[in-house]
Amino acid sequence: MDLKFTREQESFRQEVIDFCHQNMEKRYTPEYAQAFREKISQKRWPGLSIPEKYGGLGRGAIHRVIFMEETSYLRAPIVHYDYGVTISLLGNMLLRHGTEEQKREYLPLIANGTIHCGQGYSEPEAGNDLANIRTLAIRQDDHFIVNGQKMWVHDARVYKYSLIMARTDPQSEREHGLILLLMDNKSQGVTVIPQLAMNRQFTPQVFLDNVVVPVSNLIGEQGKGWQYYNELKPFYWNKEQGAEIGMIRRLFDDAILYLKDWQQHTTTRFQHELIKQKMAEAMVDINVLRHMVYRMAWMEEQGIDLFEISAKLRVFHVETWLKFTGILTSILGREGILESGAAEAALNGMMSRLYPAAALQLMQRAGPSYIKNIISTEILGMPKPW
Amino acid sequence: MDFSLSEEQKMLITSARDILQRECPPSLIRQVLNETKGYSTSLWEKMSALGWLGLVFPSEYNGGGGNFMDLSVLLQEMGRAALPSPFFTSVIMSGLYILDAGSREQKERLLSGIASGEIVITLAISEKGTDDFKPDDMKTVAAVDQDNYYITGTKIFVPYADSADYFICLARIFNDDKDKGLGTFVIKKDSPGIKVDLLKTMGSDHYCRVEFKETPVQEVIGTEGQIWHALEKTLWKNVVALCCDMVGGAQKVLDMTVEYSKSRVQFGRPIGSMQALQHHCSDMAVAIEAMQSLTLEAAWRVSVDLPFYTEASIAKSLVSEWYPRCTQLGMMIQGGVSFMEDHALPLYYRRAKALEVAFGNSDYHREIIAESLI
Repeated sequence: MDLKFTREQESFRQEVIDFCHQNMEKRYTPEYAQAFREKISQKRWPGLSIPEKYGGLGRGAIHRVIFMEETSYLRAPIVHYDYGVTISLLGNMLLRHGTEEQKREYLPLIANGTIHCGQGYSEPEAGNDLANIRTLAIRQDDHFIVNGQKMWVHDARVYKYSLIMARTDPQSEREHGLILLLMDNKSQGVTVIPQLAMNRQFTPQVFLDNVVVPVSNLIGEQGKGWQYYNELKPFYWNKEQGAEIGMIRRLFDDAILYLKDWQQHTTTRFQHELIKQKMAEAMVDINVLRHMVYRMAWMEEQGIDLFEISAKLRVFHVETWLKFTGILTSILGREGILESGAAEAALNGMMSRLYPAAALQLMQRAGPSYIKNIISTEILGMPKPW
Repeated sequence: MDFSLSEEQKMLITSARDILQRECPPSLIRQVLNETKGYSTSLWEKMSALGWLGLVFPSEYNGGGGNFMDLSVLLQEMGRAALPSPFFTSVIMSGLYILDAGSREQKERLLSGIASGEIVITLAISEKGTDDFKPDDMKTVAAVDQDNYYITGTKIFVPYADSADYFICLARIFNDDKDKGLGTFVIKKDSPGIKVDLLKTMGSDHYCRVEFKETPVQEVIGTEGQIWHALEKTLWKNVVALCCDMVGGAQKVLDMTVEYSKSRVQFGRPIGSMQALQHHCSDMAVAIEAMQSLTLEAAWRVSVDLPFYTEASIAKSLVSEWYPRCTQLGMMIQGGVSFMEDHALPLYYRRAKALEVAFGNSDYHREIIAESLI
């Protein structure tokens, strides 16, 4: 066992930090963000774990996590989800089941951040119970005709593609007869309806009305969509690992700085002690998370099965993030719920945004209840309740 | 011993619930939270017509002559509806304070005005870095010039200060021991030297920052230097009032969650049939029972004029933990649809947290409880 990062990994981490310091600006504008992302694309960092022969940098999962962690910690103007979902779903799907043509066509564009692909899995009647999907993709010669409705397809408004899970055999039930199609979001018949969510983001619903998708956009074999989805569950559950720890570490460090100062205002010594205890607890949780994220990345590089660790990581992350944002908001009192703009707002109004946004963890990608069921039945081998 | 509610109280619950269900739907709340005032004036007028604003004022001041128990059941219904309004600051904090500390003439004038909905009064006490219950550190001063007082200082977290007709401002007159040397002053809106800025929160609080610069006061409430006892008591009544709101809100969240779980089918069955979710819901039900017990006990003690500060802390410490937790469990069970802004739950989710941190979170109140044990 050797838990030190290699010299190469350490110097890459420094490279990312230096890059951010050189290219980040104090004030956010869409133009600056766009320019920053283009520079990231030029470096092909979204392709850190994509093989070189497909346009990536072929450096591995740990590098990818380092990139996500440090850019997230420094609050670089990138949307980690954009890369996370594209790489972990489409990227991995193509690497495992894409044709050589598909790999050569799409992987380089993923690696240089040109294209993003969201997930088109869930439907109104298929949330945790994904096998209940109804979207049909009927084969006709050299294309599929797709009809149905998908939910939580982030972000079909701006991404080029969505990975659609559909039923190709109308007679099939549940997990059988499913396929994965790479669908251009601008295809005729695609209607994207954005819905405002509690994290102040717009999450699209997508209506598919006789959408034509060429057969060349089918990934893998017909009927095996569920199998592919299952294989990639670890990535589906933990799309932006690295970014998530960067974020929580940064919030923790900012909070410590604020609280060190704020202790002057804490009215009783008891409150001090309690705050110290709570921050110490949070630090313990963060350490666990960071260890697990890097262990999972190492396992990915080693080709070790990720199912168990990713399920446990997902539960641990959700509970930690919710607990920490909740406790921190509470510690900060009324100053903590103020939005940014007021001088009195703690942490520049961060918690007024993060506390509600954190609730997304409760149901995103299968809520913790569902994953706990999976841990109990599929990992611990306890009898299935139904 | 009698745990029952009176017939009038039961009727108040039913009627308030019906009215608010109709008049205060989530769509209205979303709309008013985005508007300048932060609450619905027309609904406020209806509330005054229904006698809600004067519920606990004696009839000689245009009130309904009700007691704090009556108020507590009404507050639960308001919390159930997540109603955004100046009720707490105007009726409870300002109104009950005036009732306790004001002169007869002030009560006649100001309480009638509050009850009729004609005037909204907001209490300005909090300052940066101070504890509402320990005014020692307070820096706002009331300087005497000729025959009047002039207030200088900055108050924060003043609800609805940008539309209120009057402020009741807590200020230090002379540097004396801690809570002596304080006075409470009525200031008319738009008086010279006032600057009001909205402090937007993630909740529905409509807090403001109010800067006073040599602002002349209209009148003094209570005897200078001797107001703290009455004001402190009012603040503690507000703690109990907040608990009532939070209990009502938590119950609504549970009701929504159970309803959803009965109809949402996944894996071929309603998700409410799944054990883990059932346990979460039953945890919520038990917690709500506990929250309500403690809250009603504190409210009863207020209504019969027994000491109640410790009981208020006991109640607030529990609801501060469980109301937000109920919103989280509720959101986990109701899933993605309840995370969307067009669903009612986000309103409760944010409101629960905002109320948790108002007037002391769980840690704050547990310390008070602990102190009372030594």
